[in-house]
Amino acid sequence: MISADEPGVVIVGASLAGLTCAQSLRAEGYTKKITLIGAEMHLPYNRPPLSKQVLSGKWQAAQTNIDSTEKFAELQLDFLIGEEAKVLDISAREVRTVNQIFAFEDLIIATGASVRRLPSTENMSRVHVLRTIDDALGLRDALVGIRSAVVVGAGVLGSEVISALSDFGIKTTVIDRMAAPQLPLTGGHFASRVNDLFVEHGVVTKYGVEIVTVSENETGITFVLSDGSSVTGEIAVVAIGCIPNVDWLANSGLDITNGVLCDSNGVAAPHIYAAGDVARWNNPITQRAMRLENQTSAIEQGLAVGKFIATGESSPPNHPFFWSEIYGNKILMLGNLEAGIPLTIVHGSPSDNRFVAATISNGITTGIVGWNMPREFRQSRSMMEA
Amino acid sequence: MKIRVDRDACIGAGQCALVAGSIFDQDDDGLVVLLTDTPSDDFLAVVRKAVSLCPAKAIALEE
Repeated sequence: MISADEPGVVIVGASLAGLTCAQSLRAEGYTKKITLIGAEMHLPYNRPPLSKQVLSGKWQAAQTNIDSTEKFAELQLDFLIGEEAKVLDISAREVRTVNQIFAFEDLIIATGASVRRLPSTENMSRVHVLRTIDDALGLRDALVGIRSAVVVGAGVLGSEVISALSDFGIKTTVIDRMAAPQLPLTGGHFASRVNDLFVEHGVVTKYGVEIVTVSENETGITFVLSDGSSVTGEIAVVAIGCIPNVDWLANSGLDITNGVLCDSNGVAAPHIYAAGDVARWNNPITQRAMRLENQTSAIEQGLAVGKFIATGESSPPNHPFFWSEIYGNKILMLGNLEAGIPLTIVHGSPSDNRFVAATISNGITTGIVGWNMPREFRQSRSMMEA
Repeated sequence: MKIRVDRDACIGAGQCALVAGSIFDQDDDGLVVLLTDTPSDDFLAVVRKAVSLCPAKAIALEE
């Protein structure tokens, strides 16, 4: 039986981290009320397929839903969508939206992150971003019949988008202010490998440049760059990262510098927790507080916070993990590869395009990457557990 | 309980085989292979964990 008499847990943010917290609370036997407040007008869905299966057209939108409606109902949540939290008052223990006040015993902040936009392009119809399901569907429609595109940002999302554009036969130019493509947590070790894939597929690369002006007309969009050159495409996709959604916490007293600062249990302040893209957890393994924008962190943090609130038990710390697929190459990354240390090849061979590699510093393995070798990658994960 | 896996969605992260190695394995491409689709209820907790950790949401569990 769920007790509705007490305020219970309020979860702000109904994406993966927030939903996982709710699932974990119930799985750990929490019987008080759980209120889940979401700003987006959708049931919780998975983001990783947006730049992969959804953009390629392989999946329909509904296939990204995290839970079936029945499973969702079993959690017995008070679920409100289209409600945006505006104020957190910690001393009064309440969250205020435009229309309502929610009292809580425990609060979980899971408001995620918003896409970073390129200044002066916010209202341009040819400029796309990729963060939400609506973004993905809009971009997919915009790709129909076009022959050229510009991608701003050669990070992991930009690289996945470029790979998808190549699959559609769209001639692509990539612009980045950095000197090379950047995959997160890889310490620059994969910059040339990813760049080689771009070049192999006819992508024009413009690295180490700033954007001076952007203009669009009835045929395309043009970027004038700091090296004096200009590039044009029929559309542009801007993939320059995300900003944590912490504006509503501005006067809360919490440390919200690049995300809500938390200890290794996700505690930001007594009875106040944060999980997912909005959170910056201290990691006792690396002794650093890091904000991680990846799905596995959102799940692991959600499971840990739910368990901690329900039982008071801590969960063991985890290494950051992400995966990507670029031009059909399956990339798996655990921990942090260190820049400036040569890779140790653990399995396979880079020249065969199948390998597992690690950086080992003073006998400690700091990161492992699998490139088209998922099983051997998993077998090598124990290297990180020393 | 009954487990179903979607090998088209699987990306070979191996999270399932890591937490429940007696139920999930990986083939040479790293894709999920079910060792049993009807494990005993003793495994419910680890299978649930595998379902929630699967980065591709390729595992479905009917309890």
